[in-house]
Amino acid sequence: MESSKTILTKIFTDYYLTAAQAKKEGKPIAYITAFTPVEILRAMGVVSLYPESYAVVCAASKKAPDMIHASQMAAFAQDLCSYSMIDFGAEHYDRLPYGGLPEPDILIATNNQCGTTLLWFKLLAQKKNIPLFIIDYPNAIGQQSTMKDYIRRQHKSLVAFVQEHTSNTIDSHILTEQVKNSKKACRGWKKVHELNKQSPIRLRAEKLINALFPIVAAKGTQSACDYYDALLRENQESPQTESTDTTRLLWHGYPMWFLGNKFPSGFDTDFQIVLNDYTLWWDLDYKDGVDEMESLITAYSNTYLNWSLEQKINWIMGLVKDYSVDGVICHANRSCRRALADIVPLRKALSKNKIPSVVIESDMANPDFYSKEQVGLRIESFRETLRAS
Amino acid sequence: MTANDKILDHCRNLVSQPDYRKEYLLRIKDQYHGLIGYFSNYIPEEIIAATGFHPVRIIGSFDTSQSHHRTLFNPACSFVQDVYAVACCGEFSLFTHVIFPNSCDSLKFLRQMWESEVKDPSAYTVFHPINADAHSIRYFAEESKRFAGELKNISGVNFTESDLTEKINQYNQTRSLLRKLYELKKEIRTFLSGSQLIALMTAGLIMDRNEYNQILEQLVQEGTGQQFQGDKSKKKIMIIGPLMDNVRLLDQIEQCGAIIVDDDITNGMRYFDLDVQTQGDLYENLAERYLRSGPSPTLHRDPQVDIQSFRDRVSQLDLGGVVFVNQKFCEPHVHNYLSKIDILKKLRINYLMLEIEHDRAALSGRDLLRIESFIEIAGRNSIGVE
Ligand code: SF4
Ligand code: SF4
Repeated sequence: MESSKTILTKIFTDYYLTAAQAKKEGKPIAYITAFTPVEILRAMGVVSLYPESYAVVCAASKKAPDMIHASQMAAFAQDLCSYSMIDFGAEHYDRLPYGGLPEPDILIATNNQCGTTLLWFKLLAQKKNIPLFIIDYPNAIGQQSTMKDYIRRQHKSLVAFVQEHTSNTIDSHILTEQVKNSKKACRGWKKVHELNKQSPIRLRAEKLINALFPIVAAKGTQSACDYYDALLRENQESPQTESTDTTRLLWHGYPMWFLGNKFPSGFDTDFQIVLNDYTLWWDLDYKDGVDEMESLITAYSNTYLNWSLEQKINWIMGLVKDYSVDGVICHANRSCRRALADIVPLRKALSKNKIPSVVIESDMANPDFYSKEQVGLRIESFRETLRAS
Repeated sequence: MTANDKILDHCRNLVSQPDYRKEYLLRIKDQYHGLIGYFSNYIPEEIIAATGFHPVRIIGSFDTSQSHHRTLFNPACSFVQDVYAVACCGEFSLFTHVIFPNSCDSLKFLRQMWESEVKDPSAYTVFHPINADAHSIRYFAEESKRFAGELKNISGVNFTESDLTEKINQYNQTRSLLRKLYELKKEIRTFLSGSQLIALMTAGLIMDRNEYNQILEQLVQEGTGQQFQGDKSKKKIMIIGPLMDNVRLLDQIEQCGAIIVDDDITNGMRYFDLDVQTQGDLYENLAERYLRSGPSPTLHRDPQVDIQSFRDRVSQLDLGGVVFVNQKFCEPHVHNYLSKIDILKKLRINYLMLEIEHDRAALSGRDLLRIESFIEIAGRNSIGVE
């Protein structure tokens, strides 16, 4: 049986090799945003790449500051999301990890996470004259048939758009397989997290960050399912905690990729970060007992960032309870207006439930907004608060 | 002071003096079921009006000093910061509800904070689409019906189709009159300065609609056939940006030697460029009009079509330059700027980007210098009116 590490390496290598190979073989390439129904594209033979995920690679390999600087030199305002600035900077930078992403043939963006990606992809489309398709998921949906029908029609139009620009048609067997695998991978991913409901925790939260890539970029594939099965198997028994403190913390929001997939030192060494809720944003709600298209509608409408405030707060408070969380670290990520909007209401809800919280202001990818000293001071005062509580 | 001066003063005060605006709204409030505040050009005002409410566009207060500095995390845009600070002081208590659009991330940020911190008046979101294709129109018609249903529940008023038609006609009249005034402006055949025209346009988003249409009719009548009486050496410029409610700043730009002959701002051409049809399904007609009108950067059409229509528009204007006036941290309009500058470069039209804080009523000395030198080098295109 393959180890999770071997499978992860394969998934990663495969993603970048397939991308490079696709260009040579003339296969259609799409740039897509994080919550695009990739299953449809795979069922149409389109190689789908995630510029956001590539920005994470650039940030983790410490290239982000140079790339952001390059993008600023090309007239981009400094206050945009760092992912988009890294992407725009890539054009003016020649030491890109993996040689950069190949040029896309089509672009697909969705608004179930933010408005930034739409503006970013629209600008790409304009500047490079690449066809763009935007899928509108106005709100998280329950039973509203109007909204469901609207999204269903858009998914159909997506098929038509891809067909028009690639001449590829949809293979319904592949679509069924893809949705089945996505569902399975999400369940596996959730179960892996749930190992940390125990004490001591089974996986340090930074390991969960390292394990994110398959659910982001290989969802729908058998390898993603195999990976989470393996991870679950390997960690079921062996508790992995080096911390002497048993205080259980939840990290709310984005990691800081430039720290090499680690949390600021002090948090991870002195406490147990049992969970980063961000990694669970990818556990999408693929409904059972409905057709694939219906399953995709609920999955992609009901993303964390598309939820109502009440849904978000209830979900996080549920995690706090289920994972026996003693305190919450909120990352106020200046890149992301949508995520920033949750912090004040969340802290209010936490304080009502007597759960201490602290805010760290920084950025997910740009280390220029990170101050080690300030974070150190926050950790100290948070330690005091936790002791007092 | 002439009658026209009085009208223009009234409009200007409504836009730039929050206390004056509030007093006015309190005065007219009892004519309606109540006042409803709203953001964005994608909220169908006609539906609000048909239910007997008066739709009032929320614009800036320019006065955050009284707000105890309640702020949102940056980078929420400067406009949203201003509105939030004022909302926290209870300044919107004269509204029964506040309606949010489903547009930029800063407004979505504000929407959540409203729910969590402001609470009163209660907020409602119209989940309008962000594309403008046939599916979107169909969906928006349904969403508008849902919105009408909610308003009917709130007010207890069950308006008929002919009530809605009446309001559509009234709002169409506004749009048609504003188009006439703008045409006069483009041809430099009106006594109104660019900033006066934008103040007049913006005041309409606040004022009672009957009163407003009467004012517009009077100004159109008087403007028709007039010759420009100002300084003929002024450079023709276009301004582009989000809601532009800082009249003093527009004055300052024009005082530097420019005349604003066209705009692509929220409270400008984008508000009135198309009418709503009154034959057939009214909700579909409303949806079509709102989605097909000059798109804001938060509404998405084929990017190449957008480029082409912008190119055509600016080419026809014989402009000296384009001034982008952006709110600090307004992401949609930064992208809009980035998407348009290549076209302007190709057309050899000068452009300038001004990033402003919403709570600062006047331009800084540094920005004024930038404008002065920009206008000095802007094209060789003076107005050229004989
Ligand atoms: S970080 Fe936030 S703003 Fe940036 S792409 Fe992700 S969701 Fe959008
Ligand atoms: S100024 Fe820009 S960011 Fe702010 S509300 Fe308007 S469009 Fe949104």
